[in-house]
Amino acid sequence: MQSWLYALECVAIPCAIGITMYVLFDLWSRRRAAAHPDHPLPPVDYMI
Amino acid sequence: MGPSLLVDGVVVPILGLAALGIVVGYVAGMFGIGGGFLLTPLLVVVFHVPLPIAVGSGLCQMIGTSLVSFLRHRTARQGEARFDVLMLPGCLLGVTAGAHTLTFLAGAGSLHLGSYSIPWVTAVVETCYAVMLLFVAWNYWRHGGAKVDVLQYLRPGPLSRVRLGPAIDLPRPGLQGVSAMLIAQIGLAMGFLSGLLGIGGGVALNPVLIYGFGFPMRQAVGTGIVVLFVTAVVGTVEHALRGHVHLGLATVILVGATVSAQFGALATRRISGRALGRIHAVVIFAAVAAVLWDLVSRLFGIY
Repeated sequence: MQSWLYALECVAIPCAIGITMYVLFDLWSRRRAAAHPDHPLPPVDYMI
Repeated sequence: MGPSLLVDGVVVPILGLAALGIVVGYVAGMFGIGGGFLLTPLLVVVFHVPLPIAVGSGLCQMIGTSLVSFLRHRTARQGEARFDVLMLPGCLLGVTAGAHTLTFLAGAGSLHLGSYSIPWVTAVVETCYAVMLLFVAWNYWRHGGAKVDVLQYLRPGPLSRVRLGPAIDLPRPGLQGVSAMLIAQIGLAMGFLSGLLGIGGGVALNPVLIYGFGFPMRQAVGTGIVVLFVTAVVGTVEHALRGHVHLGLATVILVGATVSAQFGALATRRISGRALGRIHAVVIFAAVAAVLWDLVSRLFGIY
């Protein structure tokens, strides 16, 4: 049996990675959209 | 061999895990799905990760992907929030029940067939995978098109005509008098699948919404994301408390998958909708073949 602290880590760390990736790729897609206004990035529609 | 992780006594190379994350993320970005249905069986088949840890760690990395998905969809006004609200209680009960069932199966010993034997957990979970994936692959093969907007119009399906308990209107997809009880039960089933198999349920929910209820594709894609995130969190906590989550493994896969998903999405520009649907079906059939091979090889001791 693991501790609640470990369970909390298992939730917090993927959340932190997810938010970081979202911010990074949002920034990338905005810069790309500015450079190529006729060819915007298609959305990544995770259905999961 | 390079850096590696020790997962319950099994040595797993980090580069191999990252490559798996990249492949799964690329496929996920290409087809607009999460890829949990590919990730968990491949962790078992390719890296021989124990099944409960593959399930728990798959759910853990799904927290990150579903959060990205939620952030992307929050302003798009896609999806039917009422469907999410009705599914949520059932999902939470289901994911807990699924995690308990997996723990029970992991301690249930082996199934003996003549002189051969296979752990109950492998037999049940991999059979569930194979059946569910075959159903989904058949649907995609038959209808074609995955993330593309092949179904932008409303076409009420058989589940929208079920009369069971109180009825509710779903304004976004334009459906009226849909059984609230049925939606709650679907939530229970999806939650159970998540807890037992480590998948988000989107791969099963998508066909139910589109072909069962008749949701337009865009509304289907946005439905269930909040539920998915909450289910992934609850499922991860349930599995983490039982020692079934390897955080390092989940982190490596999550980083690889989120990066490559962007490039998978870019690749959809060059492929027609129908071809995309067929490729999707072939990928799922390949996953089924891998699962069946694993099942047979374990049963007959081919490892």
